[in-house]
Amino acid sequence: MKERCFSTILASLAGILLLSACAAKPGGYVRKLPTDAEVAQYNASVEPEERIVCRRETPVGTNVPRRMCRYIRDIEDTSRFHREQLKRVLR
Amino acid sequence: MQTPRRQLATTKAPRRCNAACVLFFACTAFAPSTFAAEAPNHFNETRAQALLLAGQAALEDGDLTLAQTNLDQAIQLLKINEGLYSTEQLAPIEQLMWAQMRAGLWTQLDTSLGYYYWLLERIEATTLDAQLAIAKNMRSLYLEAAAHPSNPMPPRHLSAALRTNWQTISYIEATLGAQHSALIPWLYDGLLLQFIESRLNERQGLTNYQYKTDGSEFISGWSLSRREAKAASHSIGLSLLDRIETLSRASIQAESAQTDARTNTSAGDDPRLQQLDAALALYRGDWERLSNNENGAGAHYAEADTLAAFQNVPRAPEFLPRASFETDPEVLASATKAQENSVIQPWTTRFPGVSRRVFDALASTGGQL
Repeated sequence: MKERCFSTILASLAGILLLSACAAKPGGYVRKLPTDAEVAQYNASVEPEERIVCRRETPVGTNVPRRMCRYIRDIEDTSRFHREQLKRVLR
Repeated sequence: MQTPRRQLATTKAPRRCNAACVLFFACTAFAPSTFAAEAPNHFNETRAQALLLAGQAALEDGDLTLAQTNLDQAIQLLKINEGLYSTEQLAPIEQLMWAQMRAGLWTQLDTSLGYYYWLLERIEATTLDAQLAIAKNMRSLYLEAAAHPSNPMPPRHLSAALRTNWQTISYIEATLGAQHSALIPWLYDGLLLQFIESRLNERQGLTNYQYKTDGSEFISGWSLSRREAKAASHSIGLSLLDRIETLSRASIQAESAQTDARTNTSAGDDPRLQQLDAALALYRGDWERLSNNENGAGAHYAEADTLAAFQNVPRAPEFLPRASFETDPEVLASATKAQENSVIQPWTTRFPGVSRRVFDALASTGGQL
């Protein structure tokens, strides 16, 4: 009985995870992040600031890591912003 | 009645004729002595070719200074004779870049590279074959530069080799279409380059330079951890094999469809498809073995062995990755056995675990249309 209950929970969890992985956007299409090969091919043809970095991140509020892709320029801007904020606080 | 002006003209005419005759005879008389030592024509077209050949010969002999002098002069002559945007300059510039790279003149190499790419942008009348030859040459140049002992930034040149390969893939896709079989050798070369990069990643602090370097400057970017970089490299290799599978399958099916229309048979029965499946299982096994995933490698190798002929293809790690993509088990077995007989020569100390034959495979003339 216990085993059956456990497997039901496991199956439900797997379903939720699959659904969340294939979350459909309001436009109706499923968002598909680029593969590492696609990212490498894209990065080869653009300027350094336009390049993309994809990695698995664990967002705040969950323990489930997700693949996130960002532009280098956004990372740079965010890092600069945080550095400036930190400097202001420490001053 | 003649006017005074006309009188003057008629009297001066015989004198002018005499002067011209004297000058002519004087020239004829002095010609042998005056023009015997003909002034050298520095802008002679054949001179540029002679300098190019002399430069190439000096480069092959290892006389890098002489090679640079000759090639530099050849480029200047071609600029004057053929024009600033002439395609004739490409060959001596390529040779000059090799000479500069081998001499370890990195600043001069950057200048030549800048001029070469500037020139390429302005030359439109080149064929796809010529473009692919240029890409292949540049990729080899970057790879040899990455291995050069005096290179202060080897990962930068390795990244440039990788970028060149990806750019060529994009170029073929744009020109011939994303499903063209001409992509296969370039995709497989991408796998070999990925393998070389993965070996560089083994070294501490050298992870993921493609995000950190560009041109001659470091950009800060974002560096992945070594584990992440290895995972990305592994994933890229698998994606490349997936694409090779898609393209090869489509190519075989297209050929079969033409034959089937004549012989009334089914495309699914084509033995080449079974061979392709087994070969891809073998290559996937190789890739897993190179990534130290023995369990994954074993599963793929077992799949390859379902076709009896593939059981004879050697899989020792020291002979991987294979130099090219083949689906014929006999060719695969003989190619690997030929490698067994040769001494495994390491490519360079900078890239431990990369043998000379991997570099040679990338530098070979394959991959043309």
